[in-house]
Amino acid sequence: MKEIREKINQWKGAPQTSWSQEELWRSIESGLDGESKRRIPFSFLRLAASIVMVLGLLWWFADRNKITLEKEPLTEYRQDDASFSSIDVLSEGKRFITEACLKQLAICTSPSFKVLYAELIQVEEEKIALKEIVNQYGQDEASTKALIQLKNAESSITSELISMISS
Amino acid sequence: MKRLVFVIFCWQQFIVAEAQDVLNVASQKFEKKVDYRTGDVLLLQLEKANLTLSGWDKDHFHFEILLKSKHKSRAKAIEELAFLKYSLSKEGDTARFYNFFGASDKFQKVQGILGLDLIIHAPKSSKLVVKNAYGTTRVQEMEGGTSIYGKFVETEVNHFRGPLSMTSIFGSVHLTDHEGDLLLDLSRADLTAKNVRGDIVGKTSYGKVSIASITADQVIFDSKRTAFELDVTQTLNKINFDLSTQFGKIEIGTPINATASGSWKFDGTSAATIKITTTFSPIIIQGKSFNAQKP
Repeated sequence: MKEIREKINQWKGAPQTSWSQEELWRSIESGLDGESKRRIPFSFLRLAASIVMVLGLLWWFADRNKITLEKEPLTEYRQDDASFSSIDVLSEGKRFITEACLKQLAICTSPSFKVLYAELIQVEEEKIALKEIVNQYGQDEASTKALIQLKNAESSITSELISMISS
Repeated sequence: MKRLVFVIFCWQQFIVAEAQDVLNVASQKFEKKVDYRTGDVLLLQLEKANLTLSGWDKDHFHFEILLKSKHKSRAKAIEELAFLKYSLSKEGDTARFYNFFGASDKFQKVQGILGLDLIIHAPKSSKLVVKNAYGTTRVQEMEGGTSIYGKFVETEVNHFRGPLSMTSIFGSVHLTDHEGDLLLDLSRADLTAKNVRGDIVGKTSYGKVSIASITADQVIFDSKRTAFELDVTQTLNKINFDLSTQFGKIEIGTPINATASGSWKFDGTSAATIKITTTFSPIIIQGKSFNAQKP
């Protein structure tokens, strides 16, 4: 064992296991002569790029498809004002027309009566179409106005048909 | 402690009261650009839409689409906003935009109010086909051939040059500064126009036609229960008149110097013609220097 230690000590290529203070500082000072290279860690770049990308995406979507919220004064358009219900004088009038024409009155086959009756049917169809629109888009000022227009048209056509039958 | 409870109670009441007096409006805005080539047609099929279309000198269409949902509850307004859908595409020479109610359940009934504001800039010479229902249509500064159909729609056309065809059912039509041929089909719709030059051919029923400052070349109306009031820029003696109204009066000139009931004809000194047939309504023609003999 002793022999082995002696041989190691005699070996010149063996790593130095002790330094003098002076040698050590000389070694450090020689290393300080050149400009030191500052290395930015690769992970920092990746992090910065990710932040920029996320912010960019946020801006892109936020700016384009953003839902904006505001408030406006409430104005209600009630169906009470212009109801779709036809249980009123109008339905009575229509029943009168139907019953009269079932009796095969000559006036019911006249071209002017037929044209007017076709208009009444058209108004009925428009009411159904409007009801569907109100279901889908809600009742606002425009749909309330449309309903009133239809009811007025229905009323004038009905009374005109009745006067044709009565005359 | 009692005071704190009282303050919190008052604050809650204030919030509740405020919530009942306002509508929450949720909206979503989109902007789109579509290329234009000479001769391209823009086809719009809209419902519950407020359309403003203006002509410009650039060579593309620009769309600004604003979807809107209103409800007392903010959450509901946002939820129902999702029902509003639209489509924009270009196939061949036709750019097409349409909007629709896009609930998965066809019978879905909304609780709030939904609508769409659409602002379009289009090359002035592009041809337009606009169909709108239950909304408003405003078209201005255009020069191409245009067809506008409206049902329960307030329609407004300003500073328009070129052929224009308009159909309106249950909606009024306003026309200002128009130069070109005009084809009208109006049912239960009123027309008010100002500064119109060109041929007008119209079929109307249950309404009123009022045109201020019309330079008449050929004005022909075949109408039913429609009242007419035309203010003509030409000297009235130059115009050929063929007017007829069942159960209505006819008045010509400013001040009135010709009246009639039933029908009235006059041979003018130029090719300009006004021919109107209507029922149960008056025909009033105003204009300069009418010296015809009373019929």
